[in-house]
Amino acid sequence: MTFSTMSRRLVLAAALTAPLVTHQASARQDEPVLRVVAPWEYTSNEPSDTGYILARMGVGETLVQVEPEGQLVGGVAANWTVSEDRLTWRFSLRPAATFHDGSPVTAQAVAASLKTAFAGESLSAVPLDGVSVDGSDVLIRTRTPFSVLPAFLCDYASIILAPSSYGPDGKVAKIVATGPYRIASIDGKTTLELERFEGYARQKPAIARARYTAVVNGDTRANIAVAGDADLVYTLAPTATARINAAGQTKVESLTIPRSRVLYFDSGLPQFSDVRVRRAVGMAVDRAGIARAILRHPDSAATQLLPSVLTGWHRGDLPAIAHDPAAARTLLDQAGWVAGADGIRSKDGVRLAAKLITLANRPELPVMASAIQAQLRQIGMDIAIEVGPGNSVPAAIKDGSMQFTLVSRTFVNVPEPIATLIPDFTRERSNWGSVRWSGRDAMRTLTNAYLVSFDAAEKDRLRGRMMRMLHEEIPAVPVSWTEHTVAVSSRLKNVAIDPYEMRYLIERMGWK
Amino acid sequence: MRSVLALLGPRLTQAALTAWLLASLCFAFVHALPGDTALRIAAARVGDDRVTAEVADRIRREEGLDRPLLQQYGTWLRRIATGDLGHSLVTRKPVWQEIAYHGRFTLGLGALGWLLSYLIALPLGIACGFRPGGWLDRITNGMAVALAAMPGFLVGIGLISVFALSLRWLPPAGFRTAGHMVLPALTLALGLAAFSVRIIRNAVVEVRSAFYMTFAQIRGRSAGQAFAHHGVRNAAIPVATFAALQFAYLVDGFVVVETLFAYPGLGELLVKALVARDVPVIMGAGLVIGLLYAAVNLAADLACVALDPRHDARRAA
Repeated sequence: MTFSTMSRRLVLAAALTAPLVTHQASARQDEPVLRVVAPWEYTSNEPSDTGYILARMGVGETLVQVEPEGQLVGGVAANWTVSEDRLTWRFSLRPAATFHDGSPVTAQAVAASLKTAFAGESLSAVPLDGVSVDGSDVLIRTRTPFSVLPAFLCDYASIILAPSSYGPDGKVAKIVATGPYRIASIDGKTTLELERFEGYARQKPAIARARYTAVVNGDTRANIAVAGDADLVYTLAPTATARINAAGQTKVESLTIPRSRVLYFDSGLPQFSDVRVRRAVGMAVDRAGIARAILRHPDSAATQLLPSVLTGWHRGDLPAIAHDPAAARTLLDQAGWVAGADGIRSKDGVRLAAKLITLANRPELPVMASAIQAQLRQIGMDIAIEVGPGNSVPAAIKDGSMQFTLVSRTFVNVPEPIATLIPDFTRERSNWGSVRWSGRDAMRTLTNAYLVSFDAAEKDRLRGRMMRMLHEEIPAVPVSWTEHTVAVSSRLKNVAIDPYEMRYLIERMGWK
Repeated sequence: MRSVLALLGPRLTQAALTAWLLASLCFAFVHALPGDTALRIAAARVGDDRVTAEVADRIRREEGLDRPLLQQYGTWLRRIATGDLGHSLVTRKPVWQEIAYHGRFTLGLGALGWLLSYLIALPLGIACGFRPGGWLDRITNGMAVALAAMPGFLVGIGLISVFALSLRWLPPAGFRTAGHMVLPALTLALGLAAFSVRIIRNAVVEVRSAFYMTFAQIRGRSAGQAFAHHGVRNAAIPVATFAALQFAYLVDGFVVVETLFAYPGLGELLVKALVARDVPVIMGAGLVIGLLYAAVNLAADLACVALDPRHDARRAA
């Protein structure tokens, strides 16, 4: 009896202390820790999966980086040039740079890391011919001129890793990168402990230690911000802002970013094949009302597909889409859609009705879908809403059941919206965007011309033509832009929000 | 000793069968869900924004998700027979590693919650049992009914609002320090205590009205002494059985509490694995939870055998 009591106690004591043991090992310095909380879990070391966490936290660097203002600057590369025939790009590396394990950042190591990245899907749009080494430079050769290559090299899947990162199977076993912070320890999927990389050749960060914690639940993140239990809390619901600011521990800052909430059509359906119907849908949606009442941010009402932070892509000469239900009804009348007894229009036996798929992973979307459903009913359109998980849109497009979707789409997976416009608007069936849009071939002509053009004026003209085409032919109705929100503690200074969501820029922050 | 062995043999077989059945049901249910498993796993790996048909197709090919279901199930069974739970389709780590990591947290939280619940329920239940119908009994009863009726997340949100957001005594979420464990453990404990306080109270009332208690008092023992000598072990038997049954509530409670407090335990693992359709993790977790449930019940039965005073009497004879 005594023995069993003892062992029970031991088991109990072990069980109670087990979760506490791991963190003690890393709590070794007196320096304050910058506590970052965000929704995304560090599920694996694979850069194509979770490289964005490494890039945002300043652990991994890509060959090229983008500044919050939009200009491309050297990351692991110091600078780059392109050959006369526009096919060979030469990247010079930063002198004296080292990986986190102290080994030098050589052209061979960078080329090997890039080759692995190019084998994955996220860089598959690059017409890659080969990656090679010339002296201390890295050469990337494309089969056709590809003017946006530097922007594609900002993709987090291509963060540069040391040869010692890879296991015998060629997979990434541990992260040995080049950024201003390096990983001190990883605890499960939720916590990364970081320390300043003292061998960093560029400007050394002021903050010595940082901790990334993944908290998936949005309400829990808001609670952490209210309690002041973190220094930076990313991605907060619009409804939480007032509560967080009132508590006074952290203050919510926000910036409009190139992530748009968009209605996409299957333009091959008889309901949506006529541009007048799509335009009527655009005019029936009350963007200002949705932005004010649901998103709590009047400025987020979208006047065109991309917000003004993307200076080259937001076109000042495009008229804002008006909210005018009466004009929308007139357009539908002209297009031959006649209202039936129940108020829903039809034409040639086809009802003006569709299933609208929207996603549960962004809590504002189902609410917005309900508002849009009511607004479209005003012009005689019947919408049935289906709320699904994040992948229900690609699944529906693939199996041909997609009719109409409301999604939140980022246009800066790489800091060049062309990388999203091509898959969304130039294919018969995209993954996320338009389906069977008749303008896709004309759009592809423009995007192809853009990819091969190295002339700034020509590219600007092409941007103008592309955005005007999307604005006038409406394969997608922009509803709102997105506010990127972050709760910031009062002890931090030099906090900046990156509209490209590529970096948290903690290496530039400091304690007050 | 023989009675313990007689109890163990069939129960272990039963436990293994239950666990296998549970894991197989998990397999069947996950595959009966609508939607493309490979697409779900792709979303869990690369994020919703980057899911493409190409990524899903590669995962389908690499992970053998395009094979017939029976073949996939057969592979799993063969692996289990060799003690291999497979690897997670999302993190690519061995399932046993995932379960061990998350299980450690759940075990800590569960033990603390369970202990805390009896720290609350035992004194209260015994005190109420000594004066059934008294003011303490009535107040405790009212509170127990209210707590039992409230879903766990509501109790949790209430505790967070008071202790984390208003008073700022404790952190609202996380798992790094002992302070982080207090609120989730208390949430679990209150839910558990709401039931056990009534069971303890009733057991005490029943034992105290038994003939042998009256006899002990006639022999000159005080009420307290009589209860301590003859009552405690008798009253403990239904309580031990009930404590084991509460394990089911705990598993249920973990799912809610861990999600609410961002606590990386088994419940959280299971929820995320279900969302991501991470079949090997779901089946592994099902298997382990099934085995744990059987083990806890077996432990309770053994405790009852040990507690039963008649057992001592038989051994003495």
